[in-house]
Amino acid sequence: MKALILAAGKGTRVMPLTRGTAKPMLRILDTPVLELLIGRLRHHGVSEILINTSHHAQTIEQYFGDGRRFGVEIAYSFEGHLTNGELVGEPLGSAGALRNIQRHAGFFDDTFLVLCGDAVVDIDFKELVQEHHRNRALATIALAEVPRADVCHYGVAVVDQSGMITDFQEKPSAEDAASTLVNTGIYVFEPQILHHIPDSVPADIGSQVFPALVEQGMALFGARLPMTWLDIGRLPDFYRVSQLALQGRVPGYQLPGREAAPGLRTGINVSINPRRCRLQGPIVVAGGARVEDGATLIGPCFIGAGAVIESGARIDRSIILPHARIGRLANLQAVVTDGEYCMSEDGTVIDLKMTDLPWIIGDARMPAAAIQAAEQRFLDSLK
Amino acid sequence: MTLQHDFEGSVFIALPTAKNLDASNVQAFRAAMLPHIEQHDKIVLDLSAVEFIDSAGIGTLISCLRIVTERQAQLRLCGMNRAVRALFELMRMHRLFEVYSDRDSALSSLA
Repeated sequence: MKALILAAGKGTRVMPLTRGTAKPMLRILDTPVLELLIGRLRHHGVSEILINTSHHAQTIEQYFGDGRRFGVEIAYSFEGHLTNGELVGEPLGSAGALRNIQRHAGFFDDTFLVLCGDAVVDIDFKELVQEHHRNRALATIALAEVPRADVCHYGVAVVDQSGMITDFQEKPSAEDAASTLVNTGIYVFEPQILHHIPDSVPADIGSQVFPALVEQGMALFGARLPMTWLDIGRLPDFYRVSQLALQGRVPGYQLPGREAAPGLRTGINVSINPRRCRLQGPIVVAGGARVEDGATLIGPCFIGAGAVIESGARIDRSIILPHARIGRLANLQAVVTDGEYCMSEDGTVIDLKMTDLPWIIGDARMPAAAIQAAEQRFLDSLK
Repeated sequence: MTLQHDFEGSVFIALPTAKNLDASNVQAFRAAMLPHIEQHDKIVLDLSAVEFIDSAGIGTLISCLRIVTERQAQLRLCGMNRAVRALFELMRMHRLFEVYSDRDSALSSLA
């Protein structure tokens, strides 16, 4: 079967994490969301995958190539242009992407899947397609039930008894929501869907194509199958899903390394002495990282490749991304940090460069002299 | 650096009006604070107008705290936004200072 993964979004809502990289390349611990998604598709027998790219397209293309290393075939549809040696993204919208790909060489010649590239999902795609066929649907949306308080972040669908979608509400308030079933961004389409895409740029599936199908009484169905759907639309989602991965609760995600002590997994060439640190699992320390004696790690914690945790540092339920250095005075509680930014569980972001605190959190590759100079500036300001 | 100030009974309340408390203005901030923290015994520093604070800003707050403590006076901080509060916790400054969410709770702690 064929699938299209939508990966052209700008990722504005998860800035600054997406600076310099496409949103689907955001890593859950060490693995891009897009890689997890491709792994799930392969697992369910989907082997031909188109990815539409735009902003930071090269970060996706360089990582996945033609897909061989990932056991699938991948091709790309770039939306934008090369000007003065620089790729400029000009996304066509989700429906515009379909139109563009089909005009290129008629890729969509049978029932196909469309997925948003910014969620970790697992669903039995075969069963989803079977249900789509049983309903003789033109389009099927996988729907998920969410708590009523959360509906304001999503597109809500109203379905009748047969499962046909009769109405949509875009991000309604909890009181106004006519249902708590939301659009997960996982679709099954017949190629005839292409006849229903407007010529506008951008053209969007959720806000243009689907409402038009409902209005015309077309066979648009909602499917409710058992599924895992971990949306990474907003900053706090990134922290939450990373924590789930550490607890082994993200489908298809394999924790790196091997068990070095109860509750502690380590990659190769890791410097850590479990007897000389205070450790409370689950803790994963990736290859080449160093945890100095006297550090405290309270899980779930992830220490990325090449990261350094100094003696005295206290890290509680946090994600330390590759090459970050956590200084001896640091106290991290429920944060994600890459050494340049530090983001709390609630999405509050600290720009560490602006705060001039490399001796609290910085980059492990920064020269020691620069760190000491910053610390001296701080000490001087105490006078 | 503009420092609005006010009294609530015997408590001196200082409100820096700059959006940033950083290397560019800490000296002015310190100069504006100094006469007050050397004089009053109960001080509330309301940071609700401050959106960003850097290493130098935190250093200056510590130096104010030191002067106040040496005089056996009391200093309370309040009104921090989430980013400033997060930075305080990152540096364990929330243990050094007495931090309150708003001005009223800071004032009642000094009553």
